[in-house]
Amino acid sequence: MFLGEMYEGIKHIFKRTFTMKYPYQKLLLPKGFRGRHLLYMDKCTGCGICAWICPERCISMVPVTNDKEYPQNPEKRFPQYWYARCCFCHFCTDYCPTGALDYTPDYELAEYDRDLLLWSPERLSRPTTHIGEYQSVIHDNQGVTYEPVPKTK
Amino acid sequence: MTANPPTPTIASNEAKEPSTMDVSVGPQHPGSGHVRLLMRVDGDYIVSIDPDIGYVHRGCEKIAEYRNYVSNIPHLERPCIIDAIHLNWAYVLPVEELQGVIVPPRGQYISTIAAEMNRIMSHLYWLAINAGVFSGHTTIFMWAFGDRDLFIELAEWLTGARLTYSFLPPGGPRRDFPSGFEQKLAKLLDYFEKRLVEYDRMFLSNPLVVARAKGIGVLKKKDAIKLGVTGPVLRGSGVEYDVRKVEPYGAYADLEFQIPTFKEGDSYSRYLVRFEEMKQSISIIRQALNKMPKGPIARKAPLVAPEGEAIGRVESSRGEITVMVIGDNSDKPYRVKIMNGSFRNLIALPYLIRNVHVADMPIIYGSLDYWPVEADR
Repeated sequence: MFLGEMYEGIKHIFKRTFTMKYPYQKLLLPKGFRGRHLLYMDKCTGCGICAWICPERCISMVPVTNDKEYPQNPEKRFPQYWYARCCFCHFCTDYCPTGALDYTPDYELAEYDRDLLLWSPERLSRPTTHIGEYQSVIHDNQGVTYEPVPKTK
Repeated sequence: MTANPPTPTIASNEAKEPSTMDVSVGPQHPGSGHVRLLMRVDGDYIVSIDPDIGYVHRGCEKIAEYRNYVSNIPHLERPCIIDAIHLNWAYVLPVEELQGVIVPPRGQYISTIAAEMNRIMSHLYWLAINAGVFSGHTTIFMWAFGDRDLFIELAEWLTGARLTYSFLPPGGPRRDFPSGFEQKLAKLLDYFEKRLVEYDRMFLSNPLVVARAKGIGVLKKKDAIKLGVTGPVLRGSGVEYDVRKVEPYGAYADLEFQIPTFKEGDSYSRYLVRFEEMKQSISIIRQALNKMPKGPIARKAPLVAPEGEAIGRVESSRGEITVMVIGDNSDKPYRVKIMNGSFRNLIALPYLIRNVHVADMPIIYGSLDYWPVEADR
């Protein structure tokens, strides 16, 4: 009575497993993945359009006190992000007129202390540290697996 | 304090029989979602059911009056996040009509392909949770979520996010197809078509599923029209109505597809409607990929909408979404009113679950595909 379903189920014992052993294996994320933001401090003019468009009002423009000079930003006003509120829509990145914001594949942003979720402009300008090496591959009769991305030169 | 718990209210005029008991399939239940289903049970029969909604109401429409038209998109796509493109599109259609912006053809095709991918993803979620886990079929839960993850990875490549796309601001889509996207999508559709055959063998032809769902929760055609249900619930009762054919939007006017309709009206025919819709979505995406025009994808939309009122209708995977936007010459809307498929279909739940076994309740509830967050907004 159940022969069709049992055959289907037993056939799958011999197929490969669709498992990625996170955190030892991480997914290779595509190039426009909307993770945390990257701020280029030598392009930002402090106009505040990112703070205006943000749906969650999580960006505020703050003065930065360091020794560097920013000729395009004489008042040294840069955005600070409050990631407790950010919904990662990246309208700020798209609306920035000088291209001072960029996408990064960082998504592991959890902290034990809520105050550490307020990212200062200098912290936002650090490059990404995420390494992802696996991708999903469809095999014709063996199912789907996660395999390392072949390194191309 | 040993006070008795308060008597639950039942919105029916029947007097409470002494042999019945009120059981709360409450919000803390793995089989109910964010809603409380108050069942009046007499032995193994459910006499009546009273859905107690509002647990996730957060004043979505009021909050939308304090954000400008573009900032409203991540806010208003969250109610039905597994079907985000449709809710986004339903909000953006009236805004574009008010502002007088026409999306170029390539943008319409990209929106259509993204919407049909989202329909497949939402139906796979329905298959896994509402038809699978609620009835105890955990194999189809694993399979459907595994295949849904492949679609999610493609959507992540196209839009940048796995589920919260925010992909359609007024004026057109945000991004064009990356290079290599069309080939990978075509390969995934070939793989998924073969998987649908396996799902059919494992789920639809399964004697257990057929025994539990055939003849259960019959909604006749005139009752379906009288109650005002939409979407697969309406098409499973024999009414051939789909907003994509009645009032085409996007690229649907140029594409050929059928509307699956079954006349029995029971839970099994609602299952069949959604399966056939997945097959039609595959065919729509293939046609759209072949016919993609070239050109710009979006036009610049103004920040302000003039005074006026506009309505947009979209066929999402749960039913018809209607959004009305009233503009008042500023950059924030004066009023946004959203009406969606889950809220419209909810009236069928107390109507269908009368004098059925307790074990039939998850089947009927799952076949209606009620998404509580969308209904509560």
